[in-house]
Amino acid sequence: MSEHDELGQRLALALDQRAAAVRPSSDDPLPGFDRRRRRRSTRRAAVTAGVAALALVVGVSELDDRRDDASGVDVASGEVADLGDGIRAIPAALGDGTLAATVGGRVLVVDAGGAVHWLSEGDHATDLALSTDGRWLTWTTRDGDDRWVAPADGSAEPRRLASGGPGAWSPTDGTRLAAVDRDGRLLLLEPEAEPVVLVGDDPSTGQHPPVWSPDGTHIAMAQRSGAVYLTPLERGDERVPVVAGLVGVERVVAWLPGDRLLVLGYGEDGGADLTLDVVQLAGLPDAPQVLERRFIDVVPDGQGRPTRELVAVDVDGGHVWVAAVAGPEPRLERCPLGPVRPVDPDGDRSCLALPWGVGAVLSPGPSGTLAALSGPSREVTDPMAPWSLRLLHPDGSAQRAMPLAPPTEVVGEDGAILAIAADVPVWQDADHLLVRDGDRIVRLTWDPACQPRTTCPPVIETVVDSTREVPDGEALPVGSTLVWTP
Amino acid sequence: MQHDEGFETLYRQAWPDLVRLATLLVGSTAVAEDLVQDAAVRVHRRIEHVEHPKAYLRTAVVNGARSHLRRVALERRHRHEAPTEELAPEGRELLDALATLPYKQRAVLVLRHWADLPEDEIAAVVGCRPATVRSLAQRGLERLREVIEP
Repeated sequence: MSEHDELGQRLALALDQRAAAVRPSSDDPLPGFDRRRRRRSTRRAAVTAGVAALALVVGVSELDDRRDDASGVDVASGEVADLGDGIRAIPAALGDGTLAATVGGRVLVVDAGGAVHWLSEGDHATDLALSTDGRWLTWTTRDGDDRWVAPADGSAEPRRLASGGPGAWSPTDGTRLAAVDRDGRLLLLEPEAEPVVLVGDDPSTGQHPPVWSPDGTHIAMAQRSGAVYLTPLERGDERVPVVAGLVGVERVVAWLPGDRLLVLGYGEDGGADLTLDVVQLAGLPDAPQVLERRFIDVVPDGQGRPTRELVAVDVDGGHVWVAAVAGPEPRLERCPLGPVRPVDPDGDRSCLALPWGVGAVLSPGPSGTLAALSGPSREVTDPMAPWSLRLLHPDGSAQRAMPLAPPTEVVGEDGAILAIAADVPVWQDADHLLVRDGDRIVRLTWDPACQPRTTCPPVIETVVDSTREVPDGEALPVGSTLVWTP
Repeated sequence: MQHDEGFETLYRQAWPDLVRLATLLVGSTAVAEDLVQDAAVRVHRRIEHVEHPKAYLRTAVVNGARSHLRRVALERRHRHEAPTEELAPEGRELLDALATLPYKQRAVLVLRHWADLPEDEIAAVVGCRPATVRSLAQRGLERLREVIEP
């Protein structure tokens, strides 16, 4: 018997003993269940009545107990209804008016004319990523744990590249994909070539995408043993240890200017939820340094954001932390509760923190209008958690909330990651906003003459509805239109 | 108040084990009962959309336990309130060590070693792939060993 088997048996015995000592206060849970249900029904009815009286199309979830279901408007039927779940990925604007997304577990491209090209069937596609040169789409499938690639224009059938796992496109030529396969090997993949195994002996790196150096010559990864290492592509099959002993290290988040790595860990050291390490590579090979180590009681967003920002939401305070990693100096800034405020004085990014743990980093759309997905970070794994799209005036006023289905599945491990979807909306052509709602993608447009947008009723069109059977190449009819009534 | 008869029966049957499961996750039977009742109310409201109510209820309890631990910031502080007579010192030490694990590791170990769920069901409950269940269990046991045998 292995040591783990033996420890598992001891644990099972302890759990059995503890469970046997648990005696519920009542054998019949139904009286208490009834009382709770009545309380919630009363509160919910009051809120729903208010919505009906004002003919407002708003979610009741943010007014109601946040553990209740999200109710709102079905954008297809126009009726107030409970919204289902099913957000699976962020729509990605490909330029020229085209859009790639996974809807209902299938990959599709909507071309500029509105025609839909399905690139995969119902095989639970996820982790959709567009190559840096915009020519290729790659995704993984959860059914078979496979990684697929296809031309972004839908001109050829998808091709299986390797077994599934996180990956990242090369930053320079944009045609190579560094990916970790199911066995934890680091692979170099090209859409039209066979995989090359770069590092094949390290199963401990597996759950997060590798990070490329800006010049595309090195790949950085972290090991759960606390080590960070580089793989120089020109030599291959080699790991150069950078630093070791970083307790709780989970993943390399970004390669910063000045040859620094931002490394994310989970606070098994120092009692914090999150650690951020900045590792200076300039000392290689003799003396790489850990320049800075911060312990933060927050929950990170779990997604490597292409904007090179790390968003984290404070568990209890509702504060948003933003690690700006694109500039010459990595910064970690706290976004306190209150109105929308700029993250970077010289940039156009803003952040918003709301009292119940909602946070977002926002990009301005037309007329400075901000859009963000928000939701209760603590309950994001709850299939019934309420989420909404918010349109905000930059001063934080005139919020409009559109209820949405819960966000994408949580990515991460150990319960340390709770996703906070911060950038689901995609501004397209500067005046359209694309949002995923369950198995639909909806487009919000405004009358150009109406300003500011937060006071104007948007027209909501269903762009893609995966609940319908749409033949390949067919132009989709536009869905029903709803108008927000002030 | 009228209950859906099927749900009522299912809930009555599942109640003791759900309370035990939640207790093993949060350490307190009183809190566990609250979490289970809350989960039941939420699941009942969506019952017509739920294909497997028992599994859904269990998932809602596990998620509710995580939310509770985060809300009250007890994840790294709480200790089981086990009556000492029921547990040998080694058992108490193991459960205390279990309470220090990241939540997902803890949930996986409880679902595997107490609830005896297969990997695919554990994966569905905690929201990960079956392969990740294995790695979480492995790392959880490694961490337990580190704590009890420093």
